[in-house]
Amino acid sequence: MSDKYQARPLTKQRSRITAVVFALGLGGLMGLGGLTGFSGAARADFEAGWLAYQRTDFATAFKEWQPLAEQGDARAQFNLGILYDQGKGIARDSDQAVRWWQRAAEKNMAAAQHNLASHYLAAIGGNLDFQEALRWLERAGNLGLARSQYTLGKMYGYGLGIPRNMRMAVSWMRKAADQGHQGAQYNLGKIYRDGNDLPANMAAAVYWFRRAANQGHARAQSRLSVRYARGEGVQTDNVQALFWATLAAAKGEPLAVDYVTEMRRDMSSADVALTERRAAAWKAEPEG
Amino acid sequence: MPSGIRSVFCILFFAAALSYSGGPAKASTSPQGAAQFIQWLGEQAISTLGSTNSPLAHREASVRQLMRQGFDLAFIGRFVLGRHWRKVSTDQQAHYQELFSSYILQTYSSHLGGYTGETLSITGAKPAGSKDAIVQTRIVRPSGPPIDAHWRVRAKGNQFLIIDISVEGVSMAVTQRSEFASVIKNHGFEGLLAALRARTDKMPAAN
Repeated sequence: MSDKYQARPLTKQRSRITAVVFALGLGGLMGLGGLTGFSGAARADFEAGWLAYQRTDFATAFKEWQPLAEQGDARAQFNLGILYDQGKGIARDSDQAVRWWQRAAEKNMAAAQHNLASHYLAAIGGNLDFQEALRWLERAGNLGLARSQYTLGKMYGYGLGIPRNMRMAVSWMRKAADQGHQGAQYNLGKIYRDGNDLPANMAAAVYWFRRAANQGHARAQSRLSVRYARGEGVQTDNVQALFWATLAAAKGEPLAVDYVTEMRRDMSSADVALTERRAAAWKAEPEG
Repeated sequence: MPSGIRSVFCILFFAAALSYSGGPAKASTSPQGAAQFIQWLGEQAISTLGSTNSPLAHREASVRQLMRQGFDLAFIGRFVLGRHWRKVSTDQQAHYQELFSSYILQTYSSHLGGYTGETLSITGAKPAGSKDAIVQTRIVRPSGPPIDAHWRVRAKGNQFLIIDISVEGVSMAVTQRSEFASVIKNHGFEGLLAALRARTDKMPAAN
């Protein structure tokens, strides 16, 4: 993602050619600037803006990025949108944020498409625009952005702005889950567990709950614990059930707190002690 | 919301980031203890953000993580949802609390760095009701008039927790309660979750 939109450094020779072409007034004709990358100076300006951003000197970041954004640099446009959206270095202005994200989104920058969609979903002032959100999320989802794919899965799953369609929900969730998105993995687990409009599949539910649980997703850990306790999609195993519930309870998952209390009552003290040691030593394994 | 008020929110939320290892819990909240808590939180937050030895996104995440311990997020989240809390499933409640916490922490924490040079000073502290204390603060900004904000703090267990902030007399929790009710009325509870997710799941600045 970042590579795709990184301003491409030009060789000195190409910079000179670019300068000559612009001097001759042929820049627009040849499509330079917005489409073919930026000069070394523009890249340096972008980096200066980035360094200023990192040291929280947002006013300087704004000054560096604004001219680049005006010239059509998608990353600068996107970042300018962030400054406006968060009120960093400039008065907060969501109209301006949308304006800049729109320009970057039209250049197929998935992050900008996602943020633009987020604006339409954020319901500032109580109004949502599901149709605009869907339009941009689908573009970003098709470019492979997991967050957008996950949100699309939610929208199809709950019929937000579109008729509910579980097949589409699963299709988008699956794309995000395959990329390691914890929320998507957890939601796929729930869909396979409950079936909804599709056949339930407990083994598949366990698979997806486990992948999210291994990454540290507390609700997935709690649901995986229940599968072990009930022997649904997996062989009954009370030690495993207590193990996963203990991890989820440690993160404050309310149902898991109750499970732990109940399960400890019915287990040997040796099993409880062993499980607690294993839970204390456990570490999340983020995917990717 | 005017940007000035937002800036105050963000300072205040940021300042509340860190756990406080002050005195033991009491039935009522000591105004002096609560004031020290706010002061100390503010200093810690500024020092965390001001360090430049890690990317800004990581520092902001660190402060959010620390902030989590300075707020009673479960209490605030439930208050803000009001009567709708009991109408939704346990899973939806858990999902809401997760998103709401991120919303509170992320929204306000992301602002602080944009207002360098601001200072927070304690202007007073008094008891509020039978359990709480109100800490009065003033934010002085490099540009624009100073802003007064009041923090409602409650001693709970062995720590102080912020349960609301009022800026210019407007309670954040009450404002959000009204806003969320409107979204639920128009778009359902999943619409509210979608809105909260959209506010907290944006892509960060790109390099």
